[in-house]
Amino acid sequence: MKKTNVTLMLALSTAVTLLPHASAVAKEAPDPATTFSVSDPAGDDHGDGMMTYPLNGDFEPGSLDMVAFAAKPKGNGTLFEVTFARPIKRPPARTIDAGGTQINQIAKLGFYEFNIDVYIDTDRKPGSGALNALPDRRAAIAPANAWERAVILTPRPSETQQALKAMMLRDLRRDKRAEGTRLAQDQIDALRRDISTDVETRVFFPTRVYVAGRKISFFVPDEFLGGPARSDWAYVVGVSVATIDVSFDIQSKYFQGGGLAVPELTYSASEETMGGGREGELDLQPRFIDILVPEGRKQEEVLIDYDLKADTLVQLPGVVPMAPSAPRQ
Amino acid sequence: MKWNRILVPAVLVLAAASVAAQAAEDQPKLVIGGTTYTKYLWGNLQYDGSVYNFTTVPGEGFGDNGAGSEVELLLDAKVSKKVEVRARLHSRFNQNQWTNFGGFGIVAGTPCVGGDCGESDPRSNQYVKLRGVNVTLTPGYKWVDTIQIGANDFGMFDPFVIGRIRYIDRDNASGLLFSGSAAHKKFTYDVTRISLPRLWAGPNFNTGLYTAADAAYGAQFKGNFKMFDVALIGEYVYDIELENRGEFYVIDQGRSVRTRFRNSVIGARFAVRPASWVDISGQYYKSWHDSIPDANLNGIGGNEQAPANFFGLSGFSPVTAGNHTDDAWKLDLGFNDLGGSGFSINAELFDIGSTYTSMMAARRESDVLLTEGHDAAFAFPGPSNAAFGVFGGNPTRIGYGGWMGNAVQVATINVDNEFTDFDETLAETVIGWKGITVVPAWRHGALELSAEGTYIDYNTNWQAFGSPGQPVSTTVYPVHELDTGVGHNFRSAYAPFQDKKTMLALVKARYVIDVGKGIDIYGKVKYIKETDNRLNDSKFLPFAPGDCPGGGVACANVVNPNDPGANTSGIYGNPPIISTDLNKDGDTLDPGEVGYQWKPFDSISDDDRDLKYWLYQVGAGYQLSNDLYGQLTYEYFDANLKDGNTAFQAYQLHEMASGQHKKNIMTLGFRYVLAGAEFGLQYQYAWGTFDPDFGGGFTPQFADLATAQSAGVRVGSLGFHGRFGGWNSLEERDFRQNRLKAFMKVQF
Repeated sequence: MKKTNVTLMLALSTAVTLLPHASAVAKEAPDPATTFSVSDPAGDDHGDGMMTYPLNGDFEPGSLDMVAFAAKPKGNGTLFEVTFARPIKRPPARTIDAGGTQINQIAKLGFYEFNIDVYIDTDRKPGSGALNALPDRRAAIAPANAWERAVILTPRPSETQQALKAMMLRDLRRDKRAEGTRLAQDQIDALRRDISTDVETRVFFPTRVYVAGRKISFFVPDEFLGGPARSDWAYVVGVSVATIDVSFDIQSKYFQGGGLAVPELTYSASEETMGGGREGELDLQPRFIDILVPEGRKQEEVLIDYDLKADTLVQLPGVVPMAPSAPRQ
Repeated sequence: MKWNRILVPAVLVLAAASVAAQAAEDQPKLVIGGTTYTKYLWGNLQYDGSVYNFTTVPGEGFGDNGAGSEVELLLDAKVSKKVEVRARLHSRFNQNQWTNFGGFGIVAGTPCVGGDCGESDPRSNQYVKLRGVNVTLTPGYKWVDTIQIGANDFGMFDPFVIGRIRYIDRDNASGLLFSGSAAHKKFTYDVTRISLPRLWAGPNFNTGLYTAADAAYGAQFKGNFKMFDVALIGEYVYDIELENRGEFYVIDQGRSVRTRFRNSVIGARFAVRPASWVDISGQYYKSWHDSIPDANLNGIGGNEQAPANFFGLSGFSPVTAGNHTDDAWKLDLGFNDLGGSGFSINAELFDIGSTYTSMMAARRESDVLLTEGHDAAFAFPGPSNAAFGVFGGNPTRIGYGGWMGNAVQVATINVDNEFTDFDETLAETVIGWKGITVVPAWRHGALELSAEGTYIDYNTNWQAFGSPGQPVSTTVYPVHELDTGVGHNFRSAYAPFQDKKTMLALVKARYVIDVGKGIDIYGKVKYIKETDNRLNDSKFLPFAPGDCPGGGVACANVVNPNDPGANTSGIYGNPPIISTDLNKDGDTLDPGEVGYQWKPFDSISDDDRDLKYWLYQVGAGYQLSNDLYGQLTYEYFDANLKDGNTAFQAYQLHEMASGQHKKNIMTLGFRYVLAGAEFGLQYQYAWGTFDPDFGGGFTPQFADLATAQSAGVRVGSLGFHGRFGGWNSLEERDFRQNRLKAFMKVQF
């Protein structure tokens, strides 16, 4: 299956020419200090049209309905801003386990309901960069927008980063073993170091986060992006429900059915799971409940465009806020 | 490139693996997972009753020492697309300390606290219990999306009506839940029948003798639109008993039943979002309930008391006795990030009726009001957080430090903080509160500033429980721990005499210093001004003017002829004459050495309350490494409290708290993640003083040996014995509390 994916990705990366051009929903920022601001339709917090929120009372329709994505320079970095249709709920003092852990004790950044993934294509070269979203998002990135940098806003950034590294190492080892290769301890240690370096170089988990009403802002330093965010870069932006009581044990993700800070998708929502799963397609259905799409594309069509026959995931297109004819800086 | 060599293949592998892991989704499968917790408690209170810091449940233990473990097995079976089964098998910390040596260790003849019942008691024999059995059906009909049968936390309803109930098992409650939708989720409904929890969901914290048919019925309808939402909710709670009145007692044609408790609630909510920066929402609820607590008397012709006589001055029940109707509402306005300035302001108007009742309302873990409310460091009446601590054998349970942080607010007197540790959040009742809260906030860069101003008046401001013809020692109101002490006493909504106002103001700041991963520093200054004139009409004074002339002359005990029936002489009895050799010159002839044991209650100011409360907090948190987060917080509390004098005596039920309280709390916390295991540690050191000021008009006494041993004070120290014999020390008290909680959580 892996080879199938790789082959398909490579094929797509050469087949796809250019990114769908700048979104009509992008608009010149009213604030001169804003690098760009892109709007997203309201009322589309349903993924492929079927997805529903968990039934635990934390969510209402519109809770994770992204209506705008913006960026502005701030000091030695960029402040990304996502605006939702409803006010963002603060982490409650609700106990989540028998140890007495409360949500507000572990969700220290002021939010707990969602993850926001931002995959950024900074070189704008088709096929150059990574093609996958984070594990268990069940989505790929369109080869035209292969990303160089990813920003993952999540309620427990450090833990999620560690989990990502551990999952990658475990699966690489498993893959090697399946190929008949057993890694020696020094090889594993080297792999662990390389993965750690790569994750920290390519994937940023913001910790400077500000919540006000419906807007959440998160700071990304220039040294990570290579400079302030630019309006001629391509951005793939997806919002997913977060599992705050996430298990970072590798095995348990299979029990929970979710994964890296996202809950399981089931046919009908429950207290802990999202609903809207399609029979026989759960493994291919993306876990994003709202994404940004370029003009001419519909979110529902993008998120259902997985290939059952080829067993391939959807490919999320990027959005370039600035018109392509504008000069590159 | 390294990226392509390592990360990209790795991510691809993960994607492929994830797909493979669920490839067999259509096959029925049973998956078993689990979690194990280990908790270690240490503290200088030296309690070892259980592996929880706190409970008020009689017969249960509480402790601040010991280690214990528990495990839960999670079962999940997807039988088909339309049927899913979940269940848990779970052991409990309870009294299962490691010292029980695997559930053994019985000590004959001792109460079952602290694990000393060994195998003979399920709380100490490491029992495993069935919990959380739930079958979810997804039949595919148009009229229903899901049907849940069995355990549920019912968190999808409304904390004012049907809320999350309890955390130890979030899914303690069981019932039927039908959920459906129409027009692409624009309209949704939830309809439920919840089997009424016999443990607490009725008068006197039980549902009587005949319980299996008791239930709460709920329905909620919601409409969600782009600019606004509306919701309607209703609840009906019905607790029945077998008919026991002679005229109805016929058994040949089946047994009749009668009502013990009935509770109806209807409510409506709306939210409007006219612009991206404006949020308006409102909620209104109306409740009716009829409570006949004695309807479960087991015998023909049960001898029911009139509701008005049901509770004494210290009654405990989650609901008032008798028939009551009341309402609750609140209105919220939010203006966010005005003009992109980073400035936001939220405001809330609220009015929670004195007898607003929803038996299934959230008991904790919900926060129904905008205000921060009171601080959990002062949760009980006594200076050390003891309830009924004026009597020997009632030492503080949670300890001088109380709980951490501020309380959350719940719309019920059925507040539940049982089986918690000090690092958890306290819940407090807001029954009877009415007022306004304004919260401005401003963010600029890494700086966040916010403030709060709250004014609270009370629907429970009344004289003689609002029934002047009724003796105050008998009432329909369960007063729980009453209303004395620095704090609010988390579940006390009622007092016999109340004329209270509360003002709360705070400013808090948070700033992220751009060093390393960002040092999070924060601070807060909070002020509470609270006055309560309590008995504010001289016609309610217990005795006639001049009844106690002083000068060593005994009181005449002539009841106030103007007393309209409240009969406060029954609770504020006159003092006897005592003599004390205060200057230790061998006689009691000097002024002040002969007099009243406590001040006679002869002025309406004798019970006045005036609180000036300050909290100063500063702290910092930092992600010390990718695996380790550390946090250090220091808090200083300065409370100047006048809470009645020795005539009032905190209703002679609690330690008096009038005086100067200075409390310091230093809290050090860590969280650590290690490859699948999460560790947490909270260490707290609380220290401070209480300098009592109980006023004059009485002759102090020296503690004798028996008093010293009972009250835990020094022999010969000054104090006074109250009406019920309780001892209040007049000497400054120093407090020191050390405590630590460490836990490990591993999911497997």
